[in-house]
Amino acid sequence: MIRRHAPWLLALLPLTALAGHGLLNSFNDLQWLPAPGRTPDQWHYWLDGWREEGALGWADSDSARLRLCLDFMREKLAEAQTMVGKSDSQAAAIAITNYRAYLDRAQSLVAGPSTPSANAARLGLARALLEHQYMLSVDYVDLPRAPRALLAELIDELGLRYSALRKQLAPAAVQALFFQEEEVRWSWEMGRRAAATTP
Amino acid sequence: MLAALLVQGCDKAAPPAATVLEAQPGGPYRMTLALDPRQPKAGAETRLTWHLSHTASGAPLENLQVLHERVVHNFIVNLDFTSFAHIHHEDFRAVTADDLKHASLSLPYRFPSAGHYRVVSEFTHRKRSWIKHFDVVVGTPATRAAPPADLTRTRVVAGITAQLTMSPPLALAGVETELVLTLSRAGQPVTDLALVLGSEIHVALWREDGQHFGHTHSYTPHMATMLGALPDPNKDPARRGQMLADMMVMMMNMPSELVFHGPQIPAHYVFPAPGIYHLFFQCAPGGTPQVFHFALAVQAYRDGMQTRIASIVSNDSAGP
Repeated sequence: MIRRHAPWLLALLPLTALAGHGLLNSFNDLQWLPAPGRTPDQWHYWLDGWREEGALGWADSDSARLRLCLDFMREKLAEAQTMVGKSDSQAAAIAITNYRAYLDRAQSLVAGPSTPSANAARLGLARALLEHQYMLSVDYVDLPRAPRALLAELIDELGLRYSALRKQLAPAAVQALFFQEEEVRWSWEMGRRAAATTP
Repeated sequence: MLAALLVQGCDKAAPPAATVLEAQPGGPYRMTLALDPRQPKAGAETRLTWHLSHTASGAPLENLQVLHERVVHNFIVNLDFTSFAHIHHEDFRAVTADDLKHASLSLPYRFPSAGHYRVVSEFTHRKRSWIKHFDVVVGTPATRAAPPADLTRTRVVAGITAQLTMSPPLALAGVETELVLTLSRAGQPVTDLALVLGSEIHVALWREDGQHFGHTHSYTPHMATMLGALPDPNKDPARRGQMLADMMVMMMNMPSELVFHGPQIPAHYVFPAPGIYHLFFQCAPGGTPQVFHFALAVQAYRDGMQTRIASIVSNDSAGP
């Protein structure tokens, strides 16, 4: 049936065998970041802030506000990545500051006692934090070396924020996120390694 | 100049020869699929041409990596799950340097019947596997609902009986599941399995709504040992990430090896969400590739449910 193997044969496992194990395909259905739209290096970027505050002001529930915050976080992340791609660290830092602001608001919206809707909201934010880390880690190697350090800091920060949020999740939710956590860990390590060998 | 204008003019006048579809999801790499003829007909040959490029620059994707003996693995399924193909450019002709330079691969395919098809394409670049998909409409699909999924656990194809067992016995979303295919021929265990594209088994699976495609292979004692050696993610997540990366780097481009001769072939998978899934097990008893199609109900995990795997695979490199 199964033959015996020397320990060194561990190295002979095909990559996609592990890939199919669930370690490398937990983000298959991921919706990638949107086009950045207006970016902080444009004079009319302030219009974005108005639009976003207006939308949040009109939202009639915490769940609607959370959805908007998650959408805006994706936009800010796309802006940050685009600005890093243009080697504009100052503009990237503005986008990241705005991203953090929406993340803070999202975190305050999911705080509170454990109810089914609060638990679902926390799980949604936790998923978003994993997805954001994953997308940044994938694109990291292709970005200019100096400004991408901003994104490296952000990935690490998101890892810490995720860990804190994870403690508030139900065991079933933590279980459901296991393979995405694993893939983020692996992906960021691969991104760092690739970046270390890429000019 | 005049010639260029003439060519441009001709291009504008002539309808495009092929329909070009854009793969989902997006991301750093763009994949397109050209269909020629533009509207595929059931039973007639359609040329499928994939093209890969960098999303940012539009440049062809360089240094595509071969995994499991192929550059791009394509899985074509009718979304009523009545037909399935695992197909590659190299099944028809060798990949040339020019193909790789342009990151363009193609093959002829006959969609067996009218319907809504999903084409999933998997490639590897910079040691990462990527999965993209396209939706193709062939002919005029029937409007009738797909027949209910057959959830029984035994299939017979070309004289080979395949039985599917699972551990834990109830498939749960977000929980690792061991799927074991047990093969027999005329009542006798099959012990003459051959590799198919570098693995004893390829499992392609979709949820009933066409979402959540997955592709997995046999789960070997090597894997069990390696995964067992990883540090606890709660205690040392950074080290675990490093070890995972080390494992992946080591595993690239290593030779394939037949580990399971039969009758049992285990595979592990984590179903991402509840629902009915269609699983296509591709293996080669006696060296002849066969496909066994099963359907499986995956339930939502609830606290306290049994998740332990009673594996047939030992992690000490010994047989079951």
